[in-house]
Amino acid sequence: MEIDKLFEFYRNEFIPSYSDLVGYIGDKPQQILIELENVVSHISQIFNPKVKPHERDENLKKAYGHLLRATLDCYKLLWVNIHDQLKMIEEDKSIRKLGLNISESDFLIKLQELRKLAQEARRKEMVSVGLNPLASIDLYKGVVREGYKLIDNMDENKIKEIKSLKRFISTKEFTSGIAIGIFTGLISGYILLFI
Amino acid sequence: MGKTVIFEERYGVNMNDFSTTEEIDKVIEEKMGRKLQIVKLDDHGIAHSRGTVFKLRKYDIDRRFDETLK
Repeated sequence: MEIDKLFEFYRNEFIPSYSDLVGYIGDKPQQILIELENVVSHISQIFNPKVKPHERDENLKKAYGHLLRATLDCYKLLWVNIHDQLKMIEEDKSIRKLGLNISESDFLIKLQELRKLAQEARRKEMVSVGLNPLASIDLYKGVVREGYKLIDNMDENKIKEIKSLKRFISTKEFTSGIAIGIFTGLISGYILLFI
Repeated sequence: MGKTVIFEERYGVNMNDFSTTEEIDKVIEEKMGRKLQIVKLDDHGIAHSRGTVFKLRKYDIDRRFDETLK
């Protein structure tokens, strides 16, 4: 492998995955930065005059390995983040039924399909370790694309209304509970006067 | 340049104009109006509970990913 290829991979694969992740979560994940730190360490060894030529090749391979891992991790972390939001919808019956621009059954079917896609990407990564790692990158990318599309079906206005209605109901229940408690207390106090 | 899934659409940019993480960070920071913070996305990070950060970290992301498949 040539060092040019490493930087080509950096521009063509890593940068897009990093942009998607950081652009979506709005922060820089520590995990990815640690991986990049390792890449830089190995690259510095390639240009270290004290290092033997065969060791330079080893360092180049290791640098590529870390960069590949960082790219895959970007998509995995992005999927985990998107999945957390999808799971929140899945577990909230009222948002699932009323807060989406698609039907509840469509949402659940698509979520199941997405999980299968994610499983397939993971399986591909496991079987192609050291053979064709790029194949799993495309699959992970596909999982993120479909997950993002599904998230897009969330209707923020409807969800806000549902949450506000839920708050109103729980406040009403709390107030009614207190009122009933005071009322029954007074009644029982009054009855006790006659005993 | 490989196309992005979210970034170009969300930020209205073309990936051909970028080649470093620094340039990407700048676009995001300008849009958000604040500096990007370094965060640890996984609460179950083992970096602080065990010794070697690197190997354990890898395991961690894969485990978090696998949890989404259940």
